[in-house]
Amino acid sequence: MEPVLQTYELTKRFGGRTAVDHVNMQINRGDIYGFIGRNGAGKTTLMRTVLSMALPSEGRFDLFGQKPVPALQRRIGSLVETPGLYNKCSAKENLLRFSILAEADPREVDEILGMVGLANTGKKKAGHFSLGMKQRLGIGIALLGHPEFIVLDEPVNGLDPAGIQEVRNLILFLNREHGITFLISSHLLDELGKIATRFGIISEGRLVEELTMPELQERCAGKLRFVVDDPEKALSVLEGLADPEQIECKGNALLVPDGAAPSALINRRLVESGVEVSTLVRETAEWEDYFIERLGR
Amino acid sequence: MKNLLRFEFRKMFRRSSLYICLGAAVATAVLTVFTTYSMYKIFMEDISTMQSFSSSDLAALAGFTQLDGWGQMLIALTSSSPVMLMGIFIALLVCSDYSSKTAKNIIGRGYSRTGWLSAKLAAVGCACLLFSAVTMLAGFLSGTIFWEAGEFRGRYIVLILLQLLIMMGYAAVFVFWSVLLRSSGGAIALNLVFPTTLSLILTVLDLLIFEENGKITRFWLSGAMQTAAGVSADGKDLWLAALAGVLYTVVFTGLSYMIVNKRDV
Repeated sequence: MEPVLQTYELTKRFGGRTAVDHVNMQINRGDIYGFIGRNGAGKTTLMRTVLSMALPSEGRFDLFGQKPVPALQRRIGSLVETPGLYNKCSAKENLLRFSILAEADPREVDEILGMVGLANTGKKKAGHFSLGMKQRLGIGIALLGHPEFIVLDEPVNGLDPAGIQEVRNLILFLNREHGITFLISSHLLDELGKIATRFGIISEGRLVEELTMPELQERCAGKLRFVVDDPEKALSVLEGLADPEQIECKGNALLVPDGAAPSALINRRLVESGVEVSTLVRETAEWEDYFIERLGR
Repeated sequence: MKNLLRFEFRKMFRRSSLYICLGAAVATAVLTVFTTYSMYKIFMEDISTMQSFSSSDLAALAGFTQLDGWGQMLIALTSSSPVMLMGIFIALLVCSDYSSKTAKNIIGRGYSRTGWLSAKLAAVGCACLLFSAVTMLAGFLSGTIFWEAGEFRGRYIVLILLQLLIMMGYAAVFVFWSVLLRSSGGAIALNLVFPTTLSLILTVLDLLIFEENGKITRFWLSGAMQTAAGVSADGKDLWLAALAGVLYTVVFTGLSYMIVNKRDV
């Protein structure tokens, strides 16, 4: 796995407050890395630091496996916080200006305008755009110069449901067809869950956990809940059907990982052994609940 | 660096404020010459009965000097208007990337803060030359229309170059306030208030301490500009004016680099 971004004990302090606290993060080529954290957890500060907008207080980071020299940074597109736009200029003029910095072909501009749904804005000044349109233009600027890595901070802020879907499809298209790696933060955990391949959870500046989508699915996999009259006896019956370490016992309830054994078989065995089963339900954990639990709420 | 220069110059030449401020600089230069001409005419009519002095002596006694195209060109920049207009434009240009939050787009694309400020300083330098050139040209043309072109002397080239250097000093001070405050409103206010207030304070200090004007004032840019506008200024005074121009340019540019490099965008 080729790392696109790797941070080593990266720390950013503002006076006495530590916004990013010794973060070791790795984003590999092709990832759509969902960055999750509460407001003020340090997501934006970390993004700003790896984009050199903020100067690190401690630690360092590598880009594409090397020290972050300007030539490597030019391979990154970004939209952090509110989009940086020249409000008195049209969408096209904004893109044309930034195409100089991104060393992009000016012909790319019309293509990008179409991609972000701003092809028909003509001479309308960016200052008169809606929040969603400004957000799209910000994404357009990030796309200039065919970046290999795009950092998006709350990219669907202010977008309507159709706009959110369009941005989601655009990210998936760019990731799958062009191999672009993404680092995306969003408060819309469900939305992030639809596109991210890896997740990083940050709380109070510390990276609490990094996990892949399959790992998340595994952790949020459903459980079978049996409410029985004799849990001890039931436990001894279940030990023959599932890994005893995975079986949880909460009072009269036994929780067995879904898929360990067919629910009908477990139920039959329990009944055959003289255990009375009063309730049998399949419980599934929501991703959102998992993240909230990890965020420490 | 080439990209940053293209970016900054494209931005600068597409700003309507550049043309508005340049237009205002031309208008104030023409109006200043016209006012001088009108006052001169009234004065000469009033004292036409005094035959014992020549008209040029009388004009000089009344403070009317350099009454021709070249002379008006040389004193055009001593007026506070072109400096103030340049201050307004520099504040707008430099603060635009802070107020529109586009600075992060530039730094995020791998351009260093030093490179970014250098490109801005190049654009500001160009703007400074433009403001100086149009003001001087307006002064020359107006002076030529109201009087005559006058005789060109080689010394004028030195004075013009010295005035450009002093204008660069002003530009460096204006850039410094702009990167320090990051807000165009605050920077405009400071760029307007600072030079005039400082001049006034130094004049008061001169009068209180030395009981004559110019001892301390000549170390500030407005005093240096007065020196550089005088066709009869001696060599030592010109060197002092040049030193002031260089010092303000170097010190305030250095301070701007220091601020930009130490702060997040």
